[in-house]
Formats: sequence, structure tokens, C-alpha cells
Amino acid sequence: MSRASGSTEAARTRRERRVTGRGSRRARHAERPSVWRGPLPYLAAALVIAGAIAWSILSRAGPTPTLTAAASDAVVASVTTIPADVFDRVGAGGLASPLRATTFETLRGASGKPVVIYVGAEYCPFCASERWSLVAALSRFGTFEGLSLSTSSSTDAYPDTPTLTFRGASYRSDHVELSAVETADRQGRPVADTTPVQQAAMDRSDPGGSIPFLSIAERYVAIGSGYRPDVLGGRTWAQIAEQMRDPSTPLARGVIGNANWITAAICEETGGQPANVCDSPGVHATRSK
Amino acid sequence: MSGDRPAIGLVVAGIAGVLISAYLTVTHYAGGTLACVSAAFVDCDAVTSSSYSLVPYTEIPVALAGLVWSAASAAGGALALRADPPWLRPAHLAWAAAGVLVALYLINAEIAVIGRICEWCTALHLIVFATLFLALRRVRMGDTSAA
Repeated sequence: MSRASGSTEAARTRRERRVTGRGSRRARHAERPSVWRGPLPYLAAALVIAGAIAWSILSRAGPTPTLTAAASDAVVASVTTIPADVFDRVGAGGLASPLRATTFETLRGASGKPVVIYVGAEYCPFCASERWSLVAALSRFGTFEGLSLSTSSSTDAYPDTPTLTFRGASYRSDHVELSAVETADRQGRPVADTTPVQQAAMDRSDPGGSIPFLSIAERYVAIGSGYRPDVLGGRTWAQIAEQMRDPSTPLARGVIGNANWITAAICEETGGQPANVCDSPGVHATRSK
Repeated sequence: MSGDRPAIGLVVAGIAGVLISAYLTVTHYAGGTLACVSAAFVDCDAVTSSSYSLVPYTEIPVALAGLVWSAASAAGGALALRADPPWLRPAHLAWAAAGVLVALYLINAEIAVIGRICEWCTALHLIVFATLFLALRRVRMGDTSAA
């Protein structure tokens, strides 16, 4: 009896399901709890978002580890001896010219050679990125001594960007003079003043005093970095030095592309000397743009 | 359907997103400066002049991508108020989730790489997060009404 009654009930339910069409879905929902009910979906979404933001905060670039003297020397040696074919293969690196032509007379030093002026500070992240290119470019015209490694400020934009510093460095070249100054350390404490020549050049071309300020014999001027500092982000000095030699990397296109623009401007003022540099495909690539 | 408050919220969030990303896009192409508070960790120029301001391997500003995303989200909300086809709720949720993933990528770039945040970008990120919760709410509504 009860069995017959049960089968009648089941048949009615099946009929109802067939008639309504939605009955079967409703029945299934009623049978097993949906994951969409309750606070779980909201909590899961909030946790994912909060977790990702917390991970970003925790993984924020900390101070770059220090290097041994030998490792530091290796980085400097690598950056100052970039092979010519790397410059040639990168060309302009897809960068627009960072330099603006002026109408001033060529600024020459006591030796009669054109003067490259750089004014920056160690805390400044844009100076940090610009120095890699400037050192690579100037190393094609002469030799540095006393270059050392540094990082930009930990509390400025692009914190702790690895770089080199011109503080304590000297430069010798048969073609060009370098007048470089870092006015402050990475904590922003003043460490040097601009010379009258540097200050006069800034007053003429960069009255706002923005840094980095780069003047190629006062005939070409760049204010700011020729490429974005985040290209260097998250890398050590050694990794930057290594990737500068690989033309396929975005880093090389930024650093070396910018260096080629600087090189081309210097060549304009040195009368195309040295020829092996100024007539190279990498320099010609910028002229064709 | 006019009482579908989450859908109304999606339209409002989408329109707000369109306005903010349009401002960021116009400023990008005009080369102007954003109206932005200059505080310890707020520096809009540092963020919008970084390489993260462009869609990777393109010259397309991410603000333009944000504009398209917001407009599509607002359109989805408007469609929900008129017709609400069955595919719309899960599709809007997937769209919102994709937006959240991009927003988290950009937030990571701001905090971990650039070390600065942009208040306009942050407002847009909050809108994206709100869109996710509203889209989630609509999926739950559909699920509840079905049950």
C-alpha cells in the first residue's frame, strides 16, 4: 500500500517537472546547497584582493644588497666596455630623441674640447637611470676612473634604483671633457655645489633647476631621463650590466638606445671623432630618425 | 527589473569609470598634468609616465583600456535593466574578474616598482573592485531566485 502510494507520488513529481520545465532545476537547487549562497563568495573575493595588495606591499623593493669590491669593479668594467655591435644592434632603441637642440655656441673647455655637463643627485631615480646611458656613451670617447655603485633614494619614486655615481669619479678623453656633479647623496644631504660653468648652463637651458640636467657642449640639452627608470626595476647592478649587453632586452633598448642618442650628439660637437664611433650604424640609426 | 539595484550600481560604476579613464586618456594624449595631490606616496606623474601606463608591447595607454572596460561594464548594467538575458550575469562577473586581475597587476606596479600611487588610478581600481562585488551580487540574486 505504502509502496503504491510512493510510486504515485513519484509519478506526480515527474509530471510536474515535465510540465513546468523549471521544476527539475528547482529540485536540484533544493537538494544541494549552492556555493553562491552565504557570505563565502564575497569573502573569497575580498581575501584575494586584500592578499594581492598585501603581497605587493611586502614585496616592495628593499635596499639593493651591497656588492664586494671585486663584484663592483666587474659591474663598472662591464658597463664601460659595451661591445660596439651592441650599440649598433640597438640603434635608437625605439626611443624618441631625449635631447633638445639649442642655439647657443659650442661650449669648450680649457683644452678646447667640447664640454659635456651633467648635474644630478644620488637620491634622484631619473638621474639613476640616466647615468647608465651616460657612462656607456662617454666610455666610447674616453675612460673613467673611480666610478662606484649607488642606489637612488629608498623613499622617492622608483625606490632604490641601482645606479653608478659620478661622485669621486674622473674622466679622461681626447675628444670631450666631462663636467659632472652630484649635488646630494641618496639621503638628499648636500654634498657638492655646481661650478659657475655648470650653473650658467643650467640657468640658460634649465631655469627650473630640474635634474638630471645634461648638456652636450650647450648645443644639445636633456632634462630628465631618456628612458623610464622602471625598466631597471627589481634588478641588481650585475643584472643590469648583463642585460645592457643583450640587445634583445627592453633594458638594453632603453639604456643603450639613450646612450646612442647621447653619443650622436657628442659626435656632432667632436667633428665626428672618433670615426669608429661616430660613423657606426648605431649612431647613424639615431640620425635617420 | 527597475528594482535591480546592483544593475543600477553597475551602470553608475561604469559611468564613473568612463569619466575617470577618459580624463586619464585625454591627459595622456594631450601631455598635460593631472590634477593630483602631491603627498608622500601620491605622485600621479610618476605613475602615468611609467612604462606601466601603457599596455605591454604597445603605445596604447592603459587608461584607454580602462575606458573601454568601464563602458562595456556600464552597457552590461544597462542591458541588465532592460532585458537581462541569462548569459549576462556570469559574463559580467567574468568581465569584472578580468578587470580586477588587471587592477591588481597595476596596483603591484605602483606599490612594488614605482613606489608611488596615483589617486585617479586608485579611484578607478576601487570602481573595478566594486564592479566585481556588484556583479557577484547579481549572480547570487539569479541563483537565489532560481532556488
